[in-house]
Amino acid sequence: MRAADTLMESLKAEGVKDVFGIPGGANLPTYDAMVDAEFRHVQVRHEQGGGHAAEGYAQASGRVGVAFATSGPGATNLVTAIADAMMDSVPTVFITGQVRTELIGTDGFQEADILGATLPFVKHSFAVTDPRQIPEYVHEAFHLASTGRPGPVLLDIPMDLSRADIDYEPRTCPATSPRPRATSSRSGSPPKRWRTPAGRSSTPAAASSTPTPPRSCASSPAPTASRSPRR
Amino acid sequence: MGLGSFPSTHEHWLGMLGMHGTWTANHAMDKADLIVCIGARFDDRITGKLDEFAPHAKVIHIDIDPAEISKNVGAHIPIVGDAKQVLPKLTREYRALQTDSSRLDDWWNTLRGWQDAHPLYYEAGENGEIKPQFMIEAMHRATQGDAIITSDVGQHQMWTAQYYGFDKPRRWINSGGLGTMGFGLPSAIGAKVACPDEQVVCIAGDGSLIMNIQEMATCVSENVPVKVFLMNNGYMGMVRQWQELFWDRRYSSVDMGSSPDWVKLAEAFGAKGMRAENSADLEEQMVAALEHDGPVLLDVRVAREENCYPMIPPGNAARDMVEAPRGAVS
Repeated sequence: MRAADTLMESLKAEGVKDVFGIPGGANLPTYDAMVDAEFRHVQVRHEQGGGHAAEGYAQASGRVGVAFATSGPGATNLVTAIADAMMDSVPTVFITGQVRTELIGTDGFQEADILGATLPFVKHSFAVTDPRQIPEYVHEAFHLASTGRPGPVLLDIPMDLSRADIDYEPRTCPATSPRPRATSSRSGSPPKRWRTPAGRSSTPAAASSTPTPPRSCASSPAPTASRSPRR
Repeated sequence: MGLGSFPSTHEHWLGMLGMHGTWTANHAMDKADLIVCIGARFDDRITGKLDEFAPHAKVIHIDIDPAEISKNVGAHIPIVGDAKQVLPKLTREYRALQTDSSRLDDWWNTLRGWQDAHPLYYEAGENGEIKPQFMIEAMHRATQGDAIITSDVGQHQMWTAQYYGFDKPRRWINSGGLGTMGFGLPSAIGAKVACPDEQVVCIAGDGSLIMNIQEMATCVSENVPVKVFLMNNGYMGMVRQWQELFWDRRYSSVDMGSSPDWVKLAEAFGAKGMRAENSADLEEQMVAALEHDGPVLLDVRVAREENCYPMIPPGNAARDMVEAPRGAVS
């Protein structure tokens, strides 16, 4: 299954009913998958509006608000909304497109280090480096956004990875601790390379020659949900 | 931020705290022996001058985030946990003490006396002039006090917090921490998508609304019928108020003039545009806006240089808060 489709499946699995956002170059695969998604996408006119709409959605309903933006200016337009959600502890998940992994760090067209830019304003952030991480990262993002002191979580997905074809395993392991011990079949099997749509083996800059296996609920520690230092 | 989590119609509700809170609520803090803070962070807009905040009080601070405990105001008893779980346990233990509630009678009588002597106050408008505070009261009547209200940031936000009277949680959605102008319209869209059967009103300022006005297009094309009640005084009102009170009335880049024509702008987006210029018609127009089945922008022309009182001047202690001058010509 295409990674972007696993993103939609993962959001559906979290009970998402409505999302907000704007498409762009780097999240075209995501928006292609959005056509068949079973939830409503509200097409806003500026990413800041989408971010605040996700906040209003969350505050009115108590459910997690979700907003999408593309890379670069789309993502930086979200920064005010992300900071706002942090200050007011609003449970939100922001999903940004990123330039192709081979372009990261080259000042590629519409490239911005949104993860770095938002570090002081997020409860947690995930940079996808392997498309198989998407289902688990989505699950953890929703868990982190909505539990404890709620807040914004960022998920940044490079375009080539959202186009990749992967085996989709629905994420069933509860994110709440204690986590199961490392006995799952996934952690024992050697990581497979993902396939790009052209069928070429992809070696993204972010991964070593042996791609890092996705962090699974069975084999990796929980991300720390630490807040930025205050004062 | 938390207005509505305790009903404003309850006899023990003293009003909002802080820079534009009520005289009684702030003075109650100043004289209190005990403060129980639930999920709040003693923001600087709440405490006023931190060194002089609540000098007599012991503090019980309940928060789910341990980093908040004693961050701004030292806690004598820290309780880290989810308020939903902590409060039932706390009230159970408190009731088991079987304390005599009459021991608080003198304190309540003092508070009632303060409330009578220091109510929220504004000079009524004359000849149909719409005072901003009157606009919020009219909004309360038109919505039967039962709308989800989203807000931009500034004077209109504070007047809404003072005068709307929230009785339920999740009804007051605004940018309390970051203070993001332009928050109101998009967050109203989010609230309406989440709760399509509720009345959702964005109370906007003219300085704020224009910062995200493009989302009127979203309201129209996505059929999200939010109602924007624009408190239009032609100024960035809160900044103007500070320039008037603390910067010798040297107004600097706060006049928004009469641009744009908000009714035409709403119509250009395909929404309904309305204008209110007389206090006698205001509530009726608000009801008409609420009954219209699409998005509406109601441009309410209010008194231009009204100030938001009471106010703790910046850097002052809460007990030094200033009330609205009576009989003053505004």
